[in-house]
Amino acid sequence: MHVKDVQRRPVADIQIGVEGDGGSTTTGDDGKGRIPLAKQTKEKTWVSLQILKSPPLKDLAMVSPWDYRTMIPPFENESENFVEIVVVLRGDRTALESASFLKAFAEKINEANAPKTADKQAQLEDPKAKLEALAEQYGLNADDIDRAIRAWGAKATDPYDAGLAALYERKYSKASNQLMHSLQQREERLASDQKSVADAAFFLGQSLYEEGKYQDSAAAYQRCLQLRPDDWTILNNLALSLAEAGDPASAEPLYRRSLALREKVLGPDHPLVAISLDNLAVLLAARGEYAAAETLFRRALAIVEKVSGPNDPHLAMVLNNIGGLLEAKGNYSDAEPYFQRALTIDERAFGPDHPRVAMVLNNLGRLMQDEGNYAKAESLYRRALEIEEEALGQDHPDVAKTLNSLATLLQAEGKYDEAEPLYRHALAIDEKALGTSHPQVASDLNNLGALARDRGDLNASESFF
Amino acid sequence: MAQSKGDAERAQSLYQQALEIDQKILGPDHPNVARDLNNLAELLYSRGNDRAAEPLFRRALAIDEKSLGTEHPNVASDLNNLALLLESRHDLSGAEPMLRRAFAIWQKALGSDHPDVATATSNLAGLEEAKGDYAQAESLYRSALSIDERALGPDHPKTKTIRRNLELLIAKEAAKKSEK
Repeated sequence: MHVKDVQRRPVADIQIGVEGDGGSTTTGDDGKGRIPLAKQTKEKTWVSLQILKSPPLKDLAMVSPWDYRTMIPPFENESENFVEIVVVLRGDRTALESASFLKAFAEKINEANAPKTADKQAQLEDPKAKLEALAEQYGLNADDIDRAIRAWGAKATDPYDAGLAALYERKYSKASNQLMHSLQQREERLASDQKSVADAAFFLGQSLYEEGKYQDSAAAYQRCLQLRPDDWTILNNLALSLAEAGDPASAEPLYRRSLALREKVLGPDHPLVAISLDNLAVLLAARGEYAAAETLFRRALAIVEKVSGPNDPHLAMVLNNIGGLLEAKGNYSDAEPYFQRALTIDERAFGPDHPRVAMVLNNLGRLMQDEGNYAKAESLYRRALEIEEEALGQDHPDVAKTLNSLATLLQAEGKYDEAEPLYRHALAIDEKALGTSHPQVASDLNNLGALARDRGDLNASESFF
Repeated sequence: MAQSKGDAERAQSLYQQALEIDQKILGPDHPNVARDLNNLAELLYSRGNDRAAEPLFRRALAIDEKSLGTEHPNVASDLNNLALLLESRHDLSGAEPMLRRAFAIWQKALGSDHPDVATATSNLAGLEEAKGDYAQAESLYRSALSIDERALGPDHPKTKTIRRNLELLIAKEAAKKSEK
């Protein structure tokens, strides 16, 4: 805590304690002190403060917090989190010119005058007597305080101050107006604070996702979602993280909620609705629910065909995914025209040397490999690799992905010596770009392991002859 | 022989590294961990260490059933792995229900014309062959072959393997008949 007087000067040598808890401290020359808390006391709980002992020859009374209540600040970064306490010398008439004193006094007297029961008779205590009693605590004259509060209220620009003064003067209509205004203002400020928390959580979630730390990423997005529960982007990103974290069952309802919100607010034919349908379909396809996935992909396709132009990359994305689904179902000949259409769109939209084009070439290559057309697959992978190395640089994880595809093909053909340097190169790229403990690195190690295994099988079988 | 032992040891150490990373980053119940366990188990199995392989196959199956659901194609693949291990120990009654479940999952998820269904059918054929029911085995091999001939073409390496297995079976059948 940090103790100041009404002129905002530090107050040394005052002993402040927490009621009930038993902890107390005496401030140093800078007015600061740390109250040791009982073990069971948690951060962010409310406690009451009291002055246990004033400095020698001084008689101090607490001004603010006006109700002596404060929230224990977070224990993290302790040295930066101080509770501010304002005290005043009893009988110090300069207090009558201090806005912070008058504000706290108005708060105290208003609270003292507030109805405590539904029985109106019980409230007919003399307000003047209450004012005198409170004034006495500060060693001041009640009439002086009364005048000072009215003068302070007349000049007040902040609606909270004006509202407190009006409440004190029993001008309830004005008080309600001003306080309502103030509440709105403060709610907005709280909202903007919440937004800054949500923003930090949002970008943390994104960064952890990129790191491959999907569970941690999901936790960050969960925090963000608590603050903004109906944000379809957060719902969508959280679902992405959960799906990657191996929890598609939790991801599905979030995708569905994001989809429902987008449909409701943006209408059923919005491109973002198509993206939601597409994401949900990818999830269902990964779970092996190909029929349900196909229905959703086709709905997404209908939307993008309707609202996007014939060369829109969104169209290419959905076509690609339908191709992938048909491939997974083993319908290789049906899959090919989808990939081809996506390729044509992406080539026209981005130019023939764009990484998006490389991605579709990769898909087509994999399809050719599925079908056993290794020569065609190899030329597609090599073309994709050329594009990616040129556009993204030699050290990009997408380059590593294509190197892996090409190496897997060479391995399937038994060309182990050609495959190995490609796998090793991919591993080196991923370790450098993503860190040594990324799931993609684990996948690369699996590839190298499979190669060593196949080579071992070959050597073992050769030794029989 | 020394060369192949070195390769296998290298493969094992790479698989173990991958498993450690995935367990640490993705948690112990992630499908990628199941993939790593399967790879490691297949390797141990191929080196004749089926005692060490079996619990890894079973853990992979449990992870996939939990995280992907009991009807997922990966579960079928896990069941298939485990069944082939049991079959190699001549535990045919342990292997059979697993192979049938794998077949049913693949057929439901992928339709009857998918190469994975051909694989499952061919594995069931192998089981019938091991049980000595050559007629049943022959019909299953033929059905697997016709799927792959259509889906992958007659010259695909997998199609060739199934055709070879069918030819070996027919030869065995002929030899059996001539014994009588």
